[in-house]
Amino acid sequence: MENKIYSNKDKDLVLVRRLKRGDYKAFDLLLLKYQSRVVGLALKFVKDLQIAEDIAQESFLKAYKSINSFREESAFYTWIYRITVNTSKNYLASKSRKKELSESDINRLEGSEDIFDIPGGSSPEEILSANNLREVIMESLTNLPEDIRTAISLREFEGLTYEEISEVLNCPIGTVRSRIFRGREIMQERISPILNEDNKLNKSSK
Amino acid sequence: MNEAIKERISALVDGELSEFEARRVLDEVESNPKLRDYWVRLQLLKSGLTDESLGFLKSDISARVSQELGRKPRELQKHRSKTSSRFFISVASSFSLVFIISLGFFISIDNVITPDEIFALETSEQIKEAIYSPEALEVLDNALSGMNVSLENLGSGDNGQLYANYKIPADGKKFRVSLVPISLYSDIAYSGASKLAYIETNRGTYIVSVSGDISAERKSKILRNVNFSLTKQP
Repeated sequence: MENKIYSNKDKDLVLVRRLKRGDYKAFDLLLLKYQSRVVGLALKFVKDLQIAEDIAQESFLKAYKSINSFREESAFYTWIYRITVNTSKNYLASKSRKKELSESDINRLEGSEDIFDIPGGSSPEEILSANNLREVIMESLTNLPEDIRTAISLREFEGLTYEEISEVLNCPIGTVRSRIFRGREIMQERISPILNEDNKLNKSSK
Repeated sequence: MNEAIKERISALVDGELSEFEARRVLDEVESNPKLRDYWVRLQLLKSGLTDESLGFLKSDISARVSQELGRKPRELQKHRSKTSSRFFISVASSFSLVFIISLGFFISIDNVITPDEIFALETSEQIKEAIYSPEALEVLDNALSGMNVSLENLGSGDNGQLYANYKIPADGKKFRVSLVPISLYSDIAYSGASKLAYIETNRGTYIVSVSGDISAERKSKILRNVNFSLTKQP
């Protein structure tokens, strides 16, 4: 029988397969997961948030409509990002707006390994906020109880599956799952004030 | 928020849920906007830990995309307030469980398993593990493939049996799919047993049965799906 638990590399696969079965709810979670990064990616090409959001929207719509052509040979995020790059390039071509980015810029973006790593179009405040968030997350990790911190570290930094972690730590998979969950709960509490504050700022700036 | 469902969402984030479990989680998330927001926050947490891009956090295009696809648009709860006045949050209807049928109640005969076949499947030592395994849940999921039914709940018995209660939204009918360790097959007098399928996995063998308020044709379809999934296995 086919394995039920998918590897780290394929962690979206279960949602992809639900989506292929027509389960829109799975698409919704994939959308929520990747939308920020997809908008950030489109922003690298078009430098306009509204247009970037339009491109991201179109990219997700394309992904949704052609999900059955996704052959699961690559990760879902690679696929959606490739769609976004192509959609961005098509937009620039169709609008004759390549002048917004030179050909060499586009090639550089396409070939760059860090294309997804830097939030495109972010203001200094946003970068500061993101950096602040990262710092708090890392600090909260450091302060976790050791057994929980170890489980999360093996998962996030070493990329081990729950089964592999259970072997390393010599404990049941259910314990691993529980430790990782509890750790995330603790960390959530730490970042909530930042996210809520960020939300207030967003509201007040509109 | 329910801790158990949040723990499952956490596992889903890591790709550590079976498709069957994921379906339950998706149903829960759909019915509870806070869980949807929880999913997003877990993604942020992971990205923050692993140096992945946090992206453009102020953007929430999910409602727009949903609308384009003719879906009821929803929006994130807290830290994305940009368009909240324009959209509303869907609330799924709740289901009530009213249908309980005891194990061993089978309806009609299609695939009778012969004693030879039963004894040929020598995996009784691992049956309990199998019945609780992701493979068992996969069997259930495959069985209901394409039937447009909603899961109401799952349960298990003291002897390792597993059952899932379903509802057909179109007509409100309910039914149960049961998986029983083959070792119980001889213990429980299934003299009238009928319409069965059996599943052999690398962790054990169990019997699948369908009972409840649905047609014999539908029951047969479910069991055919089970057998279909069996033939697909390596």
